[in-house]
Amino acid sequence: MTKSLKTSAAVMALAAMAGGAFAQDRTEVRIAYDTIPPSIDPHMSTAYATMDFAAQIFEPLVTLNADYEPELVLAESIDVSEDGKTYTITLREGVTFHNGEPLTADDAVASMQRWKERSILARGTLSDATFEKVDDMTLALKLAEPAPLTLSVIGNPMQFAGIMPEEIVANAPAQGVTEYVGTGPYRVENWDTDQEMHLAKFEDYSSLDTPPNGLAGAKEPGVDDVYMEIVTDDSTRVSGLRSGQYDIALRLPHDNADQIVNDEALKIFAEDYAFLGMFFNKKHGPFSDIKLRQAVSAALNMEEILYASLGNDRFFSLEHSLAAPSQVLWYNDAGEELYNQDDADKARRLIEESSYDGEELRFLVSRAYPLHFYAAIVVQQQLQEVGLNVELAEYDWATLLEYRADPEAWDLFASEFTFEPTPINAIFLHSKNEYAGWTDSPEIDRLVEEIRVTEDQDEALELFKELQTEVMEYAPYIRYGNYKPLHGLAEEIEGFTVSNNIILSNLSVAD
Amino acid sequence: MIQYVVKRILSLVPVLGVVAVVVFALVHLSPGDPASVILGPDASADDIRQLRDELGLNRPVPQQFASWLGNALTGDLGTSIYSGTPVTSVFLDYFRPTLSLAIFAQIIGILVAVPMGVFAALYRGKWMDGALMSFALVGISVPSFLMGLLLILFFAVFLNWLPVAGYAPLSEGLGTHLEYLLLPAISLGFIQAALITRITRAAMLEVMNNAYVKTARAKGLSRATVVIKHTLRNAFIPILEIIGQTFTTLIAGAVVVEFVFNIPGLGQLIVNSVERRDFPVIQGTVLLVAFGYVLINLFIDLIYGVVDPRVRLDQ
Repeated sequence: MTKSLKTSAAVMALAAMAGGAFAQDRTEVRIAYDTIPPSIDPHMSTAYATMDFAAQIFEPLVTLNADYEPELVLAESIDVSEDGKTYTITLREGVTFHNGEPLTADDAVASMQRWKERSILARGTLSDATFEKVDDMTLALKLAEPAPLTLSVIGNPMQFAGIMPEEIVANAPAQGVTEYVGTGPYRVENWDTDQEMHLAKFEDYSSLDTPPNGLAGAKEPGVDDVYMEIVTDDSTRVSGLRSGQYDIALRLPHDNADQIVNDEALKIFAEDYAFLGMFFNKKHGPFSDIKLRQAVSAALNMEEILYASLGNDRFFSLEHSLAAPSQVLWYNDAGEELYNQDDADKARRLIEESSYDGEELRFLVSRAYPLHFYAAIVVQQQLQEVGLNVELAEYDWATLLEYRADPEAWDLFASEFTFEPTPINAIFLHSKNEYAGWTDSPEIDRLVEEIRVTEDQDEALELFKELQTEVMEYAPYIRYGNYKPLHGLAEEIEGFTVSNNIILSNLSVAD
Repeated sequence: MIQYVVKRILSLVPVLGVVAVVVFALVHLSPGDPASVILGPDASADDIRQLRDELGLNRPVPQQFASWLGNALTGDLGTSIYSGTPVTSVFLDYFRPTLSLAIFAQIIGILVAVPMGVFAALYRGKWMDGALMSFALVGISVPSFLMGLLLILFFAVFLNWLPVAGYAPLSEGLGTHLEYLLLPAISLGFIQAALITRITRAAMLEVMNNAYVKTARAKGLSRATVVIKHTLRNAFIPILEIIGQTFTTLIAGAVVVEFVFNIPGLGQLIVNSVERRDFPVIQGTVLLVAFGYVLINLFIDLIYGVVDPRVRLDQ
């Protein structure tokens, strides 16, 4: 069955190619995806590729909408007790897994418990919490302390709390589940590891009727089959999009933007996605001296750095806020004077005051992320100009991850982060997370903890501004600015959006 | 003869032993491990340590080597850390596309190269010779990925005749299979063709100077008969030799082409496995490839032994 389906799909694709415009109801979409996901298990991995695949298959109890507000998905209702310590979660009736079994509280409890043990965010914020079954369709989350941001944590789209059948959770191998059974709008028809995931519309999907909003709301695919093909070569993704072999090609080189825009059959999708930056090693070496970190912050010209990486100012914005501009609640400009300073004199003065002695500064970077690499070259030049001896240490991704864990092996590393729905939960802020770079500021820790338990929103915001200023002062990392990845789409593709991960649940093909 | 064969086969054992040790050491002593790749960029050190434990990667390296080698001797090369599939079946899955590609590229190479080499020899020193030999020079000089990109741009993007990339197994029909393989096979076969053209020309020239060729002409045989029956046939031995010898390099050269055309072949398998440190797959694949190489070489040597008795070293 699979085989004949695949064949007919290939024949159709070829026919469509040969005939140019092959006007009929298209029921399949081909996506050229840029990286091999290290796992399809959403509880396991913090890689973005894992989320892009897993989010089409699995669903959480709660998710966040485009404004980063929690909305219910598999939960019908959530009641919070007076003391704020018990969340009673009732599951939605009529939800079935891809294997035909109905969703029950046993599945939810098993999944949430596993997620809580695996998720870095959950361990940091819900470490003492427990999930317990109340009855077949109800579970209770019990917290040690009231935490107003709990729903944002449970609904966090990175390393998200996807619900799986209890027996799959219980039998999951060490490296993550290998049976992909969720409740999402697509089920996995076939997964050729490293090559292609065939997602078929799940006929028994029980959709919400609220309008689609970010990761929340109705999910009603207008196509029957989605093929996520892994195509790691950049130019092959571009060519395949132009020839019509792929309907969507993700993360294309920004240099190709004009070519796609000028092609009548194609359009681009580019929205704020993440910030680009670099992290200091604050545990060991010259950057454990705050003065030297501030010197770097003073020296850099972010516009030059971002322009070198992205080649066109429509794909980046100069932003230093911990929140994205779309996060209206949190977004503010505190600490702006310490961003994009481009002040060589100040930088030299700070270097003078620091304990830096001309040592070589190792900047870890991987070409697996070309943007990081291009930016690092400009950063290196700018820092050399003020007298810092920066050496680029370029490795493949796996090697970089290993070196990064060793405080003695590096001074700087390049990275990027998607926007944290609740910005105080960013992994690199609180010392408890021990994220590479080892931020260790009692002041930052105190502010993060205080904001977490502050119930009054205005008060929380004031504290948040204080936190942002403190982060700019302490400089655990440098934000170059925010950027937009370039995705290319065939003109007739509708309903493609990105919110942390790609969203295919309302994909359709226009006539 | 049998003694010779047995001796040769026994001599393979130390070769494979060395390969096994070197591969295992390289894989385990270089930085990077599958646990940190699986868990993603933000994972904590504790999580990584725990997963390493669960995957058995924290055992002492000699112990890991002993258990791997023990299993390998019984034909069990382990399972992929990522897909959970046995390494041998992963290998076979990825070997087929590479083999198809290499054979197809070789056929294209021969079909293009032999006539070109023959004509170049026949018109030695004329403009045709120069043109064909320049073509061969270009073929050797142009990297296969560039060739691949140019072919994609022209045949797949502009003309839209062929798919840009991808692979259809033979089970989807020979037509579809070849459709996907045509462009990659041309870009790979082009280099091969350049090499074979030069050898064909040289071999033809050598044979053409022989007395029997002149006799055949003097006898009044047509030029075509002389070229095909008397010259090319005799020139074919060195040509076959180079075809055989370069077939293994063709498989190696397929790595780059596989990436450009997104073909799930051995090259992709090895590179992907190295990138995410899928230790059992890297070790198993390299060992099997090495095994294949020594077997092919053994086979060629034995054939020589049959053809030329002087090669049988036991005498």
